[in-house]
Amino acid sequence: MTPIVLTMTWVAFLLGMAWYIAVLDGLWAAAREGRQPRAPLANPLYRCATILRQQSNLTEAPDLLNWRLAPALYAGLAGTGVALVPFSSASVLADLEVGIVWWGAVEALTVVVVFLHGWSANSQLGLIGAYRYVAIGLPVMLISMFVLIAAALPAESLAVPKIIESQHELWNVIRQPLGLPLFLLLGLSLSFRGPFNYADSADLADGTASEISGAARLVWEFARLAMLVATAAMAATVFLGGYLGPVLPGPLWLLLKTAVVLVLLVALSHLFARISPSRMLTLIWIVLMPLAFIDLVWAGLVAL
Amino acid sequence: MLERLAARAPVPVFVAMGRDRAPAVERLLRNADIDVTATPRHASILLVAGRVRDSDQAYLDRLHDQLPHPRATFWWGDEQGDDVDEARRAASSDDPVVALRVLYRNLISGAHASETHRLADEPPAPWRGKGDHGQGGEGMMGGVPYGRMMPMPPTPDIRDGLTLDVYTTQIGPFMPYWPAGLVLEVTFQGDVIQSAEVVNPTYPPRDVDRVPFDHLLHETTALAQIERARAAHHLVCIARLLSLVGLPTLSRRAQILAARVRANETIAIAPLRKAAARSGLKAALAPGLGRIDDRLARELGGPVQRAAGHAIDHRSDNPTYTRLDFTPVMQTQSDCRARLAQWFDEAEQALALVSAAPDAMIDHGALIEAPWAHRAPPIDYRVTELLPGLEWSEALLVLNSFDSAALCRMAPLEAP
Repeated sequence: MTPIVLTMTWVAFLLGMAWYIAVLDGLWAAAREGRQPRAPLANPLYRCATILRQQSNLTEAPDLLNWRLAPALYAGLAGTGVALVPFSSASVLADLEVGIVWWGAVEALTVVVVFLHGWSANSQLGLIGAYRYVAIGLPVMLISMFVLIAAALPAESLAVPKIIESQHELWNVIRQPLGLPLFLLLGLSLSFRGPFNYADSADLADGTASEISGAARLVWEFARLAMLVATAAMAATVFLGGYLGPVLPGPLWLLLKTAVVLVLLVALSHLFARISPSRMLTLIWIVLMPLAFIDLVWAGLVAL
Repeated sequence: MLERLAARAPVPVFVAMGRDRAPAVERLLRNADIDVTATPRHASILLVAGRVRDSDQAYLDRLHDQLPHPRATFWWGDEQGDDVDEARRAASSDDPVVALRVLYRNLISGAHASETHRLADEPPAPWRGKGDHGQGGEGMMGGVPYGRMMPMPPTPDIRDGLTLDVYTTQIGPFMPYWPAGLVLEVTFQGDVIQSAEVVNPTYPPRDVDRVPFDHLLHETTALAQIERARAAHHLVCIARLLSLVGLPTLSRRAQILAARVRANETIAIAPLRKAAARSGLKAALAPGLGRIDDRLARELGGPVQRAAGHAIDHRSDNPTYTRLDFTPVMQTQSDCRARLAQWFDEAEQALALVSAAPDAMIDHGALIEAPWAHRAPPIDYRVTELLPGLEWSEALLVLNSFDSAALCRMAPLEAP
C-alpha cells in the first residue's frame, strides 16, 4: 500500500470500527432489554449530530488548556495504537522495532490524559472519576505489560510485525491461554466500559465527562470507542495472528478478527456488574496480577 | 443536515425530580425515544417533574444554566403557572413524550428560541489562582479551587490512614440516583465520605403503587391488585440498584417488567434474577455493606425489617392470606445484599400469590402490609450516620437499598 492509501485505510478502520461498536452496543442493549432496536445502524449518527448541535460549554475556572486538549490527546493515543497494527506483511503505518514499548506508552499516557480530563474541569464528580481511574488504570497497565512481554518472547522481538510472524505455526492465544483474557480486561479499562467503568460511570453523573458538551464531548466519546478499537486490533494481532490466515487477503483477516474481539469486548461490558473500586483493586493485585505473572513465567519457560 | 439528523435522535432530557413524580418519570426511562441523561451538560431539555420546594428554586436555576444551548425547560405536573406556554408543559396525567419530541425538534431547528441564563454569570467566590493554568496558589501544593491554600485534614483518612486533601460540597437535590429533594453537605477525602450533614430533607414519597392500598381503606379490593403493586414497587427499587452497579440494560428490563405487572400482564421475575446473578450482582454488593442495627430495622419496618430477620408482616394475620398458606419471606444479614434479596423474594412471592388466587378479594379496612417502610414521624437516626467511611459508589448503593419511605424517615432536617 502507498502511504496515502495506508493512511486512508487507518482512518477508515478507526471510524468504521467505532461505528460498529456503537451499533453492537445498541443491538446488545435492545436484546437484553427485550425490545426492538431503534434504528440500529443510523442511531450512532443521530447521536453524533445531537452532540454536535449542542454548545461547547465552560465550567467555572477550568484548566482550559488541559480540558480542551484531553479529548484530542485521548483520540490521538487511540489512533497511535492502531497505527502499530500491520494490515498485511507490508502495510503498517508505524513499523517500530519497539512497537510493544510504544503501546505501553499509549497505555500509560491514557491514564494521564483521563486524569487530566477529570481534574481540569474543576468539578467534584469529574475529580472523583479521575482519582478512581488512576487507582484502577495503573495496575491494569502492569498486567497488560506482563502479557505483552510474554507474547513478545516467542518472537524474540518487541516489533509487532515480528510477533505476528512468530504465530505462523501457532497463535499466541493457544500458546499462552491466559494472555488474551487478561488483555481484554485492559481494553475495558482503557476505554472505561462496563465492569471497568470507574471514570465515567452513572454513579458519578458520567464522571470525567460530566461537564463537557458539544464538540469536546463528541471527540471524547469517539476516543473511548477508538481506544477499544485499538485494543481489539492489538489483541487480534498479538494473540490471534493478526493478518495471518488462509484464502482471504490479510487485511480482511485482521478486520474479521478485530470484529470478533470487539463482539467479545462489547459482551463483557454489558454482561458484568461493576464492583466497588477498593474490591476491584484487591481483585487486580491479588488475583489478576499473579495470573499475569504466571503467564509471563509460562511463556519464558516455553521459550527456553 | 445536522439538524435533520439530530431531530431523529432520542431526545436528551435531564430530569429534575420534584414532589410526586418519581413513578411517572420511570415511564420515560423505559422509552427508547427519550435519553434520560446523567448530567445536565448532556441534555437539551430540563424536565421539571412535579412541584419543587421554594428553597430548591436556586438549585433549579443553577441546574438550568448548566444545560448547553439550545435548551428549554419543560414542566410536567399540575402546579406550573400560566406564564409557561403550552409547548413547554404537560399535565401530570399526560404522557409528555410527544410534546418533548416536538419541543426538541423546534429547539434544534431554531423555531423555539434557546432559553437565556437565569443567574448572573459570575463566580460565587473571587478566584485567586496564580498558576499558569489558573490552578490556584503557589508552590508544590498548588492550591485548590478558588485559590485557597490546600486544607489538610485534621485527621487521617478514616478508611486507610492516608492523608489526602479534604473538600466539602453540597450534593442534591436533583442528582440522579439520589433521593429527590435531599441536599447533603458532604466532606470527601479522595472518593471516601468523611462526614455528611442534611441541608434539606427528601421530598415525601408519593408512590403510584400506593393506589390499591388506599383503595383498600374504603372498598373490598382484589388481592391480585395489591400484590401486583407490591411486585411493581420492588422491581423499580431493584432497577435502581442494577443501574448503579453498571447493568443499565438489566435495569431497563426491570422497569419494563414493573410496567407490565401494573398493566396486569403475566410476567416472570426469575429470568431477570438469574441474569443479574450471572452478571455478578452479588459481588458488586460487598457483604456487610449498608448493614443497619436491629433497632433501626425494626423502626423502619416493612421489607427493611424482614431483611433483618424479623418475620413481621400484617398479611400473616389476614384470613385470605392464611388460606393461601402465606408465610413471610425474610433474610438475616440486614445489609444491601439482604434488602435486594428481600425485594426479589417478595416480588416473586407476590406474583405467586396472584397466580394461586387470581380472584381472591380482601375486605375493606383490612390491615395489609405495604411494600415500603412504615410511614411515621422521623426517627432519631440520620441517614448521614450510614455514609461516613464509604466510597462514593458504595454510599449511593446504600442509599438506594432503602425505599423512599425509609429514606424520608431517616433524613429529617437537622435541628437548628
